Amino acid sequence: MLRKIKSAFTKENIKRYFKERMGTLIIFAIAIIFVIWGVISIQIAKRNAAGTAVNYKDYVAREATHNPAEVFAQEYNYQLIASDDKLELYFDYDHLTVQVVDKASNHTWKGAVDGDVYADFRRSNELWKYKMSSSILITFNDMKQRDGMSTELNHAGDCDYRIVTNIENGVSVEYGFTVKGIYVTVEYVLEDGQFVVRVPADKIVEETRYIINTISVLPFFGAANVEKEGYMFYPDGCGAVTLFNNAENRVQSVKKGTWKAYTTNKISLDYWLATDEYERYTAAMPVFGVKHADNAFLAVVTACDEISGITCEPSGCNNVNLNRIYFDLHIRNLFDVSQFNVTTEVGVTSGGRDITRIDKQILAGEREVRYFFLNDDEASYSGMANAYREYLIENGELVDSIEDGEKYPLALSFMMGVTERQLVFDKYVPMTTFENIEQMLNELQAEGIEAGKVVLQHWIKNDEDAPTYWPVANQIGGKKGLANLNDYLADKQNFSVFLANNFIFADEEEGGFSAVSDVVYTGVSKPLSSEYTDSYYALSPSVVEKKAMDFLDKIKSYSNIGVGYTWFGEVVYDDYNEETVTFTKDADGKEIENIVTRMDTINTWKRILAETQVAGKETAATGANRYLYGNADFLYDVPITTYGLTITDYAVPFVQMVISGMIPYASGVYETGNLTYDLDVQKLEWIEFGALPYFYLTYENALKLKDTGYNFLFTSTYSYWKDRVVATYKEFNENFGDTYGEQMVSHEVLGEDIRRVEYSNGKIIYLNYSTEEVIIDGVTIPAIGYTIIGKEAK
Amino acid sequence: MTASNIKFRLKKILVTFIAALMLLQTSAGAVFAATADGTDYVTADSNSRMPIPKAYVAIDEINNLRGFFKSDRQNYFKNPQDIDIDKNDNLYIADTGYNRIVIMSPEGETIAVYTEADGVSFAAPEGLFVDADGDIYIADTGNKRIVHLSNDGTFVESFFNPEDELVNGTVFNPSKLVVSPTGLLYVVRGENIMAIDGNNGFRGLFGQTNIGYSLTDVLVRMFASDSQKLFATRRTASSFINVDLGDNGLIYSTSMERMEGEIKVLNSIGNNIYRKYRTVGNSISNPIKDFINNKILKAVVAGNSFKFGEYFDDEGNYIEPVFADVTVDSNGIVSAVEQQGGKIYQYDQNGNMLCAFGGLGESVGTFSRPASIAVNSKGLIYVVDRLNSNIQVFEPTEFILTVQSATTAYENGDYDLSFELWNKVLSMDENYVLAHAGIANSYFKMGEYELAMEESKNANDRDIYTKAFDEYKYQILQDNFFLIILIIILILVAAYMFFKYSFRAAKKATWNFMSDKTKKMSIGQGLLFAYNVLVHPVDAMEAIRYNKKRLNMVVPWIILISAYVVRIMYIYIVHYPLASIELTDANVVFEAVKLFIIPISWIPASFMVTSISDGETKIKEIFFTTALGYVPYIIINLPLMFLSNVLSKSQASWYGVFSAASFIWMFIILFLSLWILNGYSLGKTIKSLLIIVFVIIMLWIVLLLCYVLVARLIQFISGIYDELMMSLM
Repeated sequence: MLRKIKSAFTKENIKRYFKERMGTLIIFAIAIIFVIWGVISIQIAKRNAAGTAVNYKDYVAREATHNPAEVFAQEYNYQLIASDDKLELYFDYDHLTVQVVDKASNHTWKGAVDGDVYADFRRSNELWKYKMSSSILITFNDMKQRDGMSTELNHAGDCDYRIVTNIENGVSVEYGFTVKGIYVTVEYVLEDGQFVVRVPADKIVEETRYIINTISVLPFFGAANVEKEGYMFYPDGCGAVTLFNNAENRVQSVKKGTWKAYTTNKISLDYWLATDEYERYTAAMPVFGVKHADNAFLAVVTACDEISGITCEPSGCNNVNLNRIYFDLHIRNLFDVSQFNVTTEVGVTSGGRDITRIDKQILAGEREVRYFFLNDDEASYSGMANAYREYLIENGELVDSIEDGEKYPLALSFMMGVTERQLVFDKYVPMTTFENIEQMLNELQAEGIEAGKVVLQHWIKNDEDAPTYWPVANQIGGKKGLANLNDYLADKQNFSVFLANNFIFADEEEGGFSAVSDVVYTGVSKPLSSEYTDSYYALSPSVVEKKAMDFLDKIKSYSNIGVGYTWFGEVVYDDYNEETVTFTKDADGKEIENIVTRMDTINTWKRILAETQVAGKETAATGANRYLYGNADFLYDVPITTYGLTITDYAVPFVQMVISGMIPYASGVYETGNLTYDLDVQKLEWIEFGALPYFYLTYENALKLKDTGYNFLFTSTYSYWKDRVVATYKEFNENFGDTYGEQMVSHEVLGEDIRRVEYSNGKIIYLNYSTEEVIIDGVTIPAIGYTIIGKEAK
Repeated sequence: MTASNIKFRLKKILVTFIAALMLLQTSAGAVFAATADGTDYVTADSNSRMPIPKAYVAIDEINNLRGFFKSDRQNYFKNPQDIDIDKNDNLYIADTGYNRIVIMSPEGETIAVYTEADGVSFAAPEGLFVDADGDIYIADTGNKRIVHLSNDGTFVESFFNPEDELVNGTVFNPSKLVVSPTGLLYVVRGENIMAIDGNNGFRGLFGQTNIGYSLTDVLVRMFASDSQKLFATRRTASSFINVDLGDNGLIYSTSMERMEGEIKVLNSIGNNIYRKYRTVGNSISNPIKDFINNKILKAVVAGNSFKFGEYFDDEGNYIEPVFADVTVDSNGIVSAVEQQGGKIYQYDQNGNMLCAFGGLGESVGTFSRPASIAVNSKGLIYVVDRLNSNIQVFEPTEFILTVQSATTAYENGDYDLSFELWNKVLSMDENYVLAHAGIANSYFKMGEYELAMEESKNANDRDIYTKAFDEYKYQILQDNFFLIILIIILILVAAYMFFKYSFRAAKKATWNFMSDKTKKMSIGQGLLFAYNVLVHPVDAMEAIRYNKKRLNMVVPWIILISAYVVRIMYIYIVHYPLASIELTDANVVFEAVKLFIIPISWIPASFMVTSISDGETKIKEIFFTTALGYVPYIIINLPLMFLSNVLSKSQASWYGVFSAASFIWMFIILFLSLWILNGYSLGKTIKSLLIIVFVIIMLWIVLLLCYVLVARLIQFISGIYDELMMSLM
């Protein structure tokens, strides 16, 4: 018997057996793989589902305290619960809504919409009635479907559980949604003459599988109908205004505008690097404002600002003729996940459509929103900017970097060199050498330019990409050239020279970092990389800091050279890289991931800037994000336009008014004098926005850039531009030299093409963008020109 | 590094799927899809964008009828599809969704609204045309008629489907039309433009493109059965999309045609007289490349030749341009609106791109679905957006106005003015290619040939360069005639002496190799032996056949490497107008593949075929002889690349002969090797050769198939891995 079996298992037999049944075996093997895959997927899905502490099966919903529909039917009954010398706070204990009365003008700011605010209120559908009467809106996802769309809860229609506690100067309200197991506590208080709304993180409770995405607080506070005089202000680009009553000049179906503070909401390289998406969804500061005739308020997120957003829905959005603007407090991160798709073409980079997934982990931190109330003359975006500037200065977040008596500077960028692709060896083409810089600065000084902020770009060997932030390219003079320039600058105190450097984005092809351990990871444990160029990564904040410190060490000896930190004022991010994630245990002994949050990143950027200043160097950075204001000596690439949404009626220099006179700044690359389509118009924009005159030049002929990736510099040759640079500077220095270090305190739109700007030293400038002469307020303004009146009119 | 620089670099994408077909292609597939975020630009070669100063500024939006009606709803547009402008700059808008025609003043105030004609309300009118007298012709699409209204809205006449056997029984859906000054109506009708006279009479179909010859069609006709033929789709010419009338009486049209007719200018007999790709080729014509461009990859890889529009949108996705509408101003400047990428492209009288602007988006100055475009007498451009239901107004900047006047001045023969204007353009944009070309042309006319050459290099225009270079060459020749003749004679004598003695040495080396049967071939001997192949190929093959064991296998490698070095040198040294590839486009690996594709395919195929048909050769000998085939390539190209620097494009044919000679020579050597080394008869050699060619084709097909399958498999597995990783989180 045994022998029989043995003989059956001879080598040949086995071979033959396999040979004959090869096809079947392969099919079985594939089937088994699929089964295993399926089992694993199911297990994973189960594991994912069990994301929250509570086991859903045992979940017993809290008992409802009231019926929202019954409450809604009742009349409002507001009671005064707090007051100080400026404000009175009223609260309705049934409806859970607030009203604030500004004592100076007796103006009532309503937290909920009623027939007075919106005439069509009674005729609106049920859902909208509830929404408009709500103090908070919550969007949530199902933990089981984290890729799905968020659903919205509004407190007036869905909140059936409430606990109201009176606290000092205000009230604490727990809004509960028993069906979904979501409980959020909001505190409304009066503090320092301001109305403050807080959402404590530890009082955000999720008892079931429903997880909160965003909380919008007081979404209809200050809402206004189309007849009302006034506007909404929001920080789109430089700042923008949407008038309440201008709907007829817009398209019929307008879309709402949304912005997230400091960087887009989505964690996506392509979003950050593509100008369009970045500008569309990013705000430099977490503020908005509303003006009703002679009253206005400025709302500021003063805690957890880096995870807040702004939504503006002007009249016409969702077919409701009501203007409203509010903050979205983000409770969780969202990531883009590339969806697996076999049917796409071979080699096509995008693996099908992207889906958005919500993170499991909640973003900790108490959220705080402050409302500053303004009246009369101050009730405008200028007043809001002044109030915000004062607030920032008070809190030490905006530091004056302009010394008294400092000369009015000219802003310049120089492209030092580019790498031109060649067949065998790539060639570094020097565009400007250090010697050229000295020569040009000499010439410019001889022509009467008294001070300058000079940014040197692309000076690194092998082109400019991080992380090869050193050494200096030999073709432009090398270390020796830099040392010479440093010596040259020793007695040129009025000229600041910055070596621009990018520590944030890195190209793997350039080497110098690990694409596995040094880069930013998204919440799906994948390195964040670009869809277009696989080799692009964002570096982890800790790596950025290490490299920046290393660089600082290297250039320490060049004491007169500052550092320009590219992207620092434009991008912040979370990092889920396992190398940097730490774990702590919560009260129940459950592990909590502590990722590197946006706030950690902001602190890293600030620390790097501070270290640079400690090293005795001037710091510059691109962008104008709010967190820079404490440590920057010069900002460039500051937006002086809005994105240009159809809902925007006009651009206002809000960001500029906040930092004017405190930090000198220059406009973006396309708003440089040489790349603009019309230098005369550009000059007006610089004046209106208080920006320094700015040129982006090369010493060599710009033709050399024609066939490189930097052909955006279509005209930059110094010899071509020298005369125009000098003339522009002289004009600005003569007319606006005395505004340097002064705050822009007022900006007014007097007509489609007419602006009026006022400085803290009393200087008033009227600007006219139209092609015809204009007379306004008794002032004649030439076509495409300006007129200065006030203290030191010339 | 500024913020924007990385942004530019980011958009540099590789169209990787071309990689599979790259072996056929002459330039690598690196494509700059979009370099200019938020700026206006021109395209250098239909896919790389060169930023320029802002050309047009969005100054106004006409979102509604500005209170013409009491009711709110009626005051908005709905799905407007056409716009035209009369000589007083009034706007005429076909508000298709609300079945009406809206007439507005230049400032956008509504003057009149027409909703019916001849007692019948309009039904979805899709097009209209205003003639010089202000009469309005409306394509009342839903009612299948064309209505003629006088300027005050009174009904004049209407046109229906004309009676003619050519058009009888067809559906008449008039959408876009123009009316010529002679009173003929030209109506877009699928692949034709139909002409109708004032009496509603049929005056012919017009402007259809020749669909050309297709191998597929011939095969279908040959092999398909009758019933199959019935179901086979007939190839038809591309459809017209829109028309406009120029002041010169020519009809400007857009069509779905891919090859050269996205924008056409039709003369009175319906021939396209606008820029055509084939006639304006900027690089040397290369039959393989043309074949690829025209037949296989169409636009995708045809980056190097001119195209209307672009084949990549702002995100770098492949699109095929569809020009929804075209408009022409009084100077003949053509502006066309492309709806896939939402861009507006402007071309001069000869089809050179002046600027591109706009795009899809949510901001002012961008569109959702642009449908129609018109330009008024002041140069303002009006663009109708179907989805946003509005009209945006664009004002030209000084930059583009200067460009337009420069090209117009040149067109009108005012070269001095054009020279001056182009210089002004350069003061605003030093890198504006067309300005350099214009200046090069002017220099050429002035007789400043050296300057013309320099400028044409800046403009990357080989045609002007060639003209200037030829003149320059004759000048030099005239000035130094005797010296040059002397140099030529010296060179010829030197060459003669060199070849005489080197061939003698080569012959001797071969003889030594064959006679001394004991020694192995030394490297020096081997190289001379290889050199001898040039003059005595048959002897050499015989020598290899009988001394297989003694061949030195280092020699073929040296030859192949030298050939490669020659190729790389060639790219660097060859004269600019003759270069078939830009230095920056060239790729080291790709050049190697291109150069060695013959041995890579020939060696295995030839071995396979000869080993099954009584051949005597082994891989070693085949490799050796194939390498010998590169000797003529080296010997011809080495002097040729230096010589090319005194040749220009007009002598390209000469030059082509030499280039071709090296490959014919290579073929002869391969043929002889097959013949002699295997001891075949001539007939059998030819037979084997045909089989080898077949095998080579099969090999490549199989390889391509494998590549695709393996790539799919890799993608599949990595996809599963990705999904697992994703779910694990």
